[in-house]
Amino acid sequence: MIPREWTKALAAVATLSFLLGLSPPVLAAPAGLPKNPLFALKCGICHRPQKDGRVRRLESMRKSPEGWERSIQRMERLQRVKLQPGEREALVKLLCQSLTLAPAESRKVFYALAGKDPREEIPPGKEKLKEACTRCHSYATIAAQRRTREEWLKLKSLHLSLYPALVYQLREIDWPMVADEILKSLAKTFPFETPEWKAWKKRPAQSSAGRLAGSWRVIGSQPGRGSYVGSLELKPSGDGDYEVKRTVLYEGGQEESWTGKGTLYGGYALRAYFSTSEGRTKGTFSFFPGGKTMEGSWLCMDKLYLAGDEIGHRWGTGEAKVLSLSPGALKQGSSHVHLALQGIHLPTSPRPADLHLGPGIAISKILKASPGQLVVEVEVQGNAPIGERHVTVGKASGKGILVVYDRVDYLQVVPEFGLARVGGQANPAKAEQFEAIAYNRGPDGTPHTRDDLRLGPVKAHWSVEEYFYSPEDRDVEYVGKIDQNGLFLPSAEGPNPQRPFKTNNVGNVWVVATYRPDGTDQELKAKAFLLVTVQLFLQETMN
Amino acid sequence: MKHVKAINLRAQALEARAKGELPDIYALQMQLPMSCSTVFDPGWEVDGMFGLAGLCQPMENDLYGCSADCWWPAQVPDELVNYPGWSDQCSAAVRDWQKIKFIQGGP
Amino acid sequence: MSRYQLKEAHELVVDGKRYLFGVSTGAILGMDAPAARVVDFLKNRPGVSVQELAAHLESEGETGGTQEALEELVALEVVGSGGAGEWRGEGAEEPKGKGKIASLSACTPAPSHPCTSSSQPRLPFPVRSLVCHIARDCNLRCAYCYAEGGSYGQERALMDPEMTCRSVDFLLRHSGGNRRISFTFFGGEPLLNPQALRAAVQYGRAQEERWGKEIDFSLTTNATLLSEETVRFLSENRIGVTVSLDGPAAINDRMRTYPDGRGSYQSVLPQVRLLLDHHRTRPVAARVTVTRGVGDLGEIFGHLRGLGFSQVGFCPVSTRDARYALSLEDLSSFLEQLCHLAWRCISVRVPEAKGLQEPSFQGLESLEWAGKDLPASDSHPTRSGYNPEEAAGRPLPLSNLANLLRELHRGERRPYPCGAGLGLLGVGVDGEIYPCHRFAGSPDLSLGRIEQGLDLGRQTAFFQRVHSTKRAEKCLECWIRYLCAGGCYFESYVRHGDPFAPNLDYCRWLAEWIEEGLRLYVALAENRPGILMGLLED
Repeated sequence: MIPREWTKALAAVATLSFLLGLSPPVLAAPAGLPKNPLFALKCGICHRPQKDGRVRRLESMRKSPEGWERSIQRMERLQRVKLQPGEREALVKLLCQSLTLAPAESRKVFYALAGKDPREEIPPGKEKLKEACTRCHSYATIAAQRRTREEWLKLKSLHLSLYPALVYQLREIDWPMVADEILKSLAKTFPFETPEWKAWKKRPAQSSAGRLAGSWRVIGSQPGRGSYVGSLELKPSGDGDYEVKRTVLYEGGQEESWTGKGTLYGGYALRAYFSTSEGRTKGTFSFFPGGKTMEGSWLCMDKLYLAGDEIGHRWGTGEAKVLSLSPGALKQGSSHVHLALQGIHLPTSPRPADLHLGPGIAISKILKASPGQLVVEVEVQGNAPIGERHVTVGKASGKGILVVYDRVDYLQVVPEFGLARVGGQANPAKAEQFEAIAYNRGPDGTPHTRDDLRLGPVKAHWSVEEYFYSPEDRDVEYVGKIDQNGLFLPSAEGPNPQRPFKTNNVGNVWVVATYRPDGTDQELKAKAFLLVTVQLFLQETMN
Repeated sequence: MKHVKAINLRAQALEARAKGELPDIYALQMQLPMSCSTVFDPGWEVDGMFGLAGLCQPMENDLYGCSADCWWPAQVPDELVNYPGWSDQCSAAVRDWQKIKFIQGGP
Repeated sequence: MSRYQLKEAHELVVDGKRYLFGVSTGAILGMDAPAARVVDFLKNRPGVSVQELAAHLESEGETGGTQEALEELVALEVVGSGGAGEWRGEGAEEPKGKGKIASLSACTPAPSHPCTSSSQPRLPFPVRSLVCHIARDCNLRCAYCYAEGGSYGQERALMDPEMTCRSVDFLLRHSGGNRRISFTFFGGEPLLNPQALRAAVQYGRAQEERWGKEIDFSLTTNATLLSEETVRFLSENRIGVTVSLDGPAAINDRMRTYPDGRGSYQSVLPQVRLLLDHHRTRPVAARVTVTRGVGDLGEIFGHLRGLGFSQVGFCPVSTRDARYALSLEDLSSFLEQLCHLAWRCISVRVPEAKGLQEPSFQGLESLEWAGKDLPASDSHPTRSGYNPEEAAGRPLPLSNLANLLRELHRGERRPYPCGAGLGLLGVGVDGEIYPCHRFAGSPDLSLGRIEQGLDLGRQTAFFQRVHSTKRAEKCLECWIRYLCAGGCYFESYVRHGDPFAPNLDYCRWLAEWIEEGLRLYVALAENRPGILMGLLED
């Protein structure tokens, strides 16, 4: 949030500038595409500015950094644009000064920008998109763009010229006709000018100059490895670039430290590349207005199953908060439990009476206290009511981060619908990481209802079972193996002479987790569907 | 034709094809389409029920047929405009599939 | 050096001229003398070279046009050509429609059958037609009913109107690119459940625009429960109606009775008249079930046409019960009469066609059918507005013939006998989905439920059985195999307890009926193509 006084001052300056006929270049980011020699050299031959200095076509669309990157890559591929290292990033940065999504718009497609599988639902009433668009690309590809009506309508010709075979490929519909209809409707759904964007582009110019520098408290989790806490240090290295140092400690005790180079696009979207022991890893971070909080996601591009999601809070300015607890679920009647509260700006010398974990949980000792973490010993009474707890430490509080339960009632395997790809020889394999999440039936006493309590991932026994598609189905023997950490590693690509018709090692199977909660004889079981499909031949969007 | 007269639609379609004209494709097809599935999501090479039974196996058998005019417009590089020569190194996909290039991002 | 071989074709002579029906292509071709000579020489000679052919024809003193005729026969896929020693099987490969000319090397040393191809249908298949049992009950107890008095051997029940709407929704959602889709109300007697009928039609009409589709609603009924209000609803909503009625009272009432044994004709007649008079938006058809003894099809047809039905279709009874099932003699009588009727329907429109008729069909001069044998009634002598003159531009009144001519015209080749389990599905009263409506109440053949959708595993298993069954082997020698593809699954189920068994009982019957259709088609196409096109219009 911009402080109120600023807004007033800005409004005053804007009014004044308007009256004097001046543009306010110092205070506000440029509305369109600023003059730039690199742009003039590499792009300006075709995208020539008009008399008023405007580059109409480009200034009629807004894209995510990834979207612009892809467009520039296409220009390199098809229009023989030659770029030196770093120049593509510089052009994307230039375009994203204002011709990108407003933070609120970007949030809705963050999953796709972070390189996640687009397991998305097409909004109701937009079934035609499914027929004509999302069979080839994700819905996020569309939702991450804003265009003027004229520009939306041009997409039909663009598709027909870049992918002329599509009319054939989608021959059961009249694609050109359906495209006209869809593009008209998209022009209304995703117009170039939106209130979010108008508000955002008025942001003060300072917002991009090292505003995010400093130390960030990071809390996140990596499927298959558990939760972690740590810090992200951002050091400005000129022109909106940052040196990024990320250090995290996993709940199992391992520490990871990465350093890399980050580029900030549009004042809020940071893309950082790290070299880690597992390979090149991309970090996608989005800073919320106000510069005090952010959400992030990372993905190892050499091992696509290594990925995590996190949130960040900036040290030094914001309010005190409890962000997570470890463990996050307490069983009735457990004693001498060491409970770690992760947070920011926590009191450093609290007394047990400053902590409130709700009825039936007594704090017996404070073991450690620092601004980021508080470790305490607690006793959970046998009759402590089950449910979610509101946690407070002095002024700091956190909602929905602690639950009290009596027993594990059922398991759920996530993702419920897994996707793996054969590979490893000529094409990259894609493994899938599964997790077994334990649940309690919740205060209403009925499992599988809304008030069920998520108790977190548990160490389950993993196996793969046949999903009978036909009586002779034997996919289990071919598709790959799952390890006891829930990681499914697919088999190699290519025809398999051992299978009927030399079929590939593809198939669909159930991934089954079994788990016996401590102190019970009852074995819990849950399963998820796993599709093991063919290899990738092309990975265009991620770089 | 001089000696043989095409009487019904099917015969007329065969005649058009023999003359090098573009026949009505539907007139040449079986009535229930037995062709490839076009239903999939980005990079999810599945048939419409998220299965694989509807797809060609091994997929290398039909890779080029499907990459040009069938159900793989997105995931397989488009050779007409964007990545010409993608499959040049490999004329028989079932035998030489290792030679098919994998294209990773970039220009 | 190329060698030539004749592909499988069925030959016929119409009006002294020779024609071929390509078994695997479905093409109908006329041949002149040189073409016929080439075909005759190639018969039973695998792999003939051009030189051998030329030498032979020269020895017969006939050389004109040989080479040209041969090329044309190759182009039209009657004759296959291949390099010496490279005979290749035709296999299951179909031209993929890439606009390229498929290789002409496909000769046929071994015959192929549409269903022996290893390729299963790509699932899910877009649904085009849904036949929905809104009532598992009937107010009649027709002796021959395969549904055992409308109950399908289960407890009598009506479909919940909500389930009917869900079924409409299922059809809309699962119809893929099909813009025109059809929904049939079936039973039992569907008018026992007018609430479901109304709810579904209203729901469907409201949803059409949103989906950009058009639903063709239709209803099969025994007409006993039609009221003025219902007829108005049917007409206003353009609902196609087929009435099950077997003919005049004497014939109808033998089988179609109330539970107390009373015949249904007298009580049906006023409702039928109401329907025919007031249903203005769609033609009304009658469906006749042919049972043991067959009866006089001409009399039945004339009677129903006289009442005002715009189309009449004949269907043999589905039963193993010897009291009703057709005997071998019945089958041949049925065929003879049906062919007879077919020629008469044509000759009403095309007097010249009489000259082309088989000798057995000559002497049937009477062209006026309407009004004959009509039960006396003062107010409704015939359907008001029905005019035999006007009928000349209308579709053929004999639906069996209209369908056959349409199939032959398109040259249909089918991998399956019908769309059951693919484009056509049946729904039971409880929302269970079956390959077609006739299988309702056979839980082992359920393909899923309306709420959950199709069970792809079961659907796949169904077609695996179709593909792996012996039915295909028996068909390999038959020239109509691409039109019949093994026949109705339900007929096989009733006769042999196995839907996948071949329907050998009807083979000869069907081949002869199709042959007759071919003759009619050729006669019309050669002499009156304009009229033929008019007849083929839907």
